[in-house]
Amino acid sequence: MSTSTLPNTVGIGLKAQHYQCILEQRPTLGWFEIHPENYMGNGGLPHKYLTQIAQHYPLSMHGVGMSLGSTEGIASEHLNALKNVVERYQPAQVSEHLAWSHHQGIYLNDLLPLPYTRESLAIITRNIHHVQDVLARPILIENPSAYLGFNHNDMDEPHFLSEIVKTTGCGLLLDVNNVYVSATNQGFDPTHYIEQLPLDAVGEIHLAGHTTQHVEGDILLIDDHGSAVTDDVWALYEVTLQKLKRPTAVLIEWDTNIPALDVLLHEASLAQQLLLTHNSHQGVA
Amino acid sequence: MDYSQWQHAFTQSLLGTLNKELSDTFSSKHKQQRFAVYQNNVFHSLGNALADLYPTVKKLVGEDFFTATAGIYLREHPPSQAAMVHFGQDFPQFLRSFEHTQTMPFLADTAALEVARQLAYHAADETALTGAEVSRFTPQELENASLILHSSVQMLYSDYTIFSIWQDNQEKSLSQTKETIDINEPQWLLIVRPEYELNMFSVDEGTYLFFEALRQQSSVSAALTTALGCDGFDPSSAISLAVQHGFLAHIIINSGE
Repeated sequence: MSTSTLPNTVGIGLKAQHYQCILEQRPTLGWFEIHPENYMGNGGLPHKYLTQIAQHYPLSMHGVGMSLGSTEGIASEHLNALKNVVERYQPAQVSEHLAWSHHQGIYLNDLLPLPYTRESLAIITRNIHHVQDVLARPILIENPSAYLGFNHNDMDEPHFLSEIVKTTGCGLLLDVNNVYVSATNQGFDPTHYIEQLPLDAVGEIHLAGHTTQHVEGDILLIDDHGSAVTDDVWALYEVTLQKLKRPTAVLIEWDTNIPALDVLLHEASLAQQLLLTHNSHQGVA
Repeated sequence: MDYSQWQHAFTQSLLGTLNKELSDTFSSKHKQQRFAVYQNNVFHSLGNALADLYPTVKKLVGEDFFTATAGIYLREHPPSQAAMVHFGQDFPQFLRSFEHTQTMPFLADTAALEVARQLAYHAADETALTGAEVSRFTPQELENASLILHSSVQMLYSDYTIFSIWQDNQEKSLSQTKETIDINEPQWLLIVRPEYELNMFSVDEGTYLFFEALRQQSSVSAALTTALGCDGFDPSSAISLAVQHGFLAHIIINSGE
């Protein structure tokens, strides 16, 4: 079951350098995504601008610090801080990652991978249940971009995600760029990966740029959210829309080397055109 | 290794070097290079966050030195939580004892100034008292009153001229007189953000002590008595600074004599 209440249109990430431009121009755009970790202070300019922008656009809160894969459970301080931001701004959607970043009081500020075992599945589902109970709403979980594979996996990523969805009732945030990056780095077929997912649970799609590194003759893609969406990822986005057979919320992610607002709006309009084209073919636009 | 031990080994390897037992669990080729992507992400993202928090320190020591120092600091003091408002606040203490910055004794206090600005910037919003609101009270009432400082107020003392050093390193600074600053002069600083604009003042010792006493909720008369011991303290200018620049949030009138 989809848990998305965001409009089925394209949004972009909200960046501090664009606050004023957005309020002056009020661009035509479906919604904005924020990282709640940037709004956990008590007051000041970030809250002033976010309050004003939230009066004109729906918000999606995309967390990066919950560490759902932590063996020690969820840091209550962080969960309480998220609950405060969620209550203050009432976002249309809350999402997090299939990853961990917190261990024994150390926060590593990266979306770290986990082996897909029965043991890790039990831990992450317990953590997701806890977050959803405290927030009193379902969340979406995003597939990671992977640089490493693990010998002791009991299942592949689509099956691990399917089990999580089945057990916790959470939705899926399908990051098409991450699928492409992981498929290249791990040598699997991205279309087959997408076919294996419980697509009914997808409540949002992410699109982003990546960079290419060469490691001893092999290609290693790095998911750095610092450039335009590549042609291969646009193609995989179209494949995804065909398989999804319905419109959904789509985000253009661009978090480093942040360009002018117009560049982001242009990427958003490309994503929106494809969203409309695919759904008019299927008669559900 | 169970999952918990594996996660521990992953964390230790990120902060140090890749552990053999952990790397044996990786199925990919080029294990070291692929693991290094995660390691780079951790140190690059946290290093950038630290540079955002300490732009003046970065400017004073230069980019390469800052990046190297950040790497050592982050390994010794990794952050404990994801909310960036709490990140990196013990960097001034680290710099105070870091062997390679001992030739710049003002650096730790400059970092402390940048933390204080950050705290003021993210402090809870609160409406400051206006001059008109304060003038409704009689001089007698005010003398016995406690003045509660605005939630954004930060106070800082240094043996070095950190306010001047900070000012000289702002992009907007027009000053071309960097070499004329005598850094070995004490400075007392007050920071306040009554609405959205942050203001910083370099004040005399008496004014600083007056504000310090107010912060401890002494009555105005007791705060003035504390400060009057300092040379050149001017009570009326200290009070007018507090009122005109939004340093005050509430007045508590203490009844009786």
